[in-house]
Amino acid sequence: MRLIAAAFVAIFLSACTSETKELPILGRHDFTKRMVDGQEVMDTLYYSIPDFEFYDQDSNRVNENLVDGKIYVTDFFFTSCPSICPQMKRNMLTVYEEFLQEDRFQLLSHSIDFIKDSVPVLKKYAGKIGISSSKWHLLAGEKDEIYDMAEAYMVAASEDPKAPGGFAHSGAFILVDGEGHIRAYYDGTTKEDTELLIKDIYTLLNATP
Amino acid sequence: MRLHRLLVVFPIFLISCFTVEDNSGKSSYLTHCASCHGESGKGFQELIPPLNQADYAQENTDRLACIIKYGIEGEVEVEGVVYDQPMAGILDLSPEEITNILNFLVTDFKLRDKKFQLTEVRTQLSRCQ
Ligand code: HEC
Repeated sequence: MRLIAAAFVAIFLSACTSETKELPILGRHDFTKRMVDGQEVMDTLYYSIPDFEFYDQDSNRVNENLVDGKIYVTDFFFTSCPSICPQMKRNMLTVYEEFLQEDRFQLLSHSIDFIKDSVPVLKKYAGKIGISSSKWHLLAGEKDEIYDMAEAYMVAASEDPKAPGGFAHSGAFILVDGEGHIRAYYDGTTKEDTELLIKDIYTLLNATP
Repeated sequence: MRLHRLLVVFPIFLISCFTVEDNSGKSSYLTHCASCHGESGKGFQELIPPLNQADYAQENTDRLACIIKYGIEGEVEVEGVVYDQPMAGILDLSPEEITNILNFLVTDFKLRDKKFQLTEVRTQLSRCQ
């Protein structure tokens, strides 16, 4: 009888904890050993996004300093993308509108079409969506830099003559915290995941003063 | 009693028969068009034009099968906004699927009053430029 009661309490508790979903730090972490009072302890060096530098639709320089201490969401796209991009941009616009007034939040979209998507092309595209570069940066860059970035975020992006539009890329939205740690991935093509992302951004915002 | 039950079951059966046909147009639309034109056909900002109660589609019903199959590019003006972003054609759609999609546009987006017949779609497709 007591056992059953204990089991119930346990189930109840686990149900509670799963409500406030934790956002773990993702990636391949490193560990260092350190001696404390003659005891060996392990420290975790969490994986974080390396420094970067790109230009956005208004020729602003965008680098790690811009997002330092800010929560941001990033994705990969290209302006002439015929497949999943319109849906991703529609969902991203929802996120943009939700956090337009939030100073601690930014959006970075990397174009992977380093040939066609120059700064003026991105500017025209941004104008058509009606977005401001103070919140949502559409980023142009050199081929290697862009693909290195995709690798740093651990998502797929490549030139692929067989893919619609000539490039293949992941449809993920990537949530990054103020310390450059990847906290979660979302399917940027679905409304459900976009709603979850918005919820998680609030969770992170509330956890950081 | 039995008869009663049958009377209830039968209309449900009929309804499901009709909706199967309607749904196939809707599901094709959701699979092939909605990612760009939106679930409710409102388009997306100034990048992708609307289809829901929108003038361009309503005035070009004689070309829609060709647009769906072979795409469209260059400037198009829809509801006063100029769009200029190529739409790739969806070559693997059969005339039947195109007919169903167009009829979904008729019923849900007020494309026109009359439904499309397969023969009309076939004729359009034989005359695409
Ligand atoms: C990859 C995105 C994409 C997909 C998928 C797509 N379209 Fe389009 N569509 C566009 C764009 C962009 C234009 C504007 C073309 C231009 O500027 O010349 C357009 C234009 C049109 C037009 C003419 C303009 C208007 O709004 O009436 C019609 C009709 C149309 N599309 C119907 C469809 C239908 C039906 C489907 C599904 C079978 C479909 N499209 C799938 C992007 C898309």
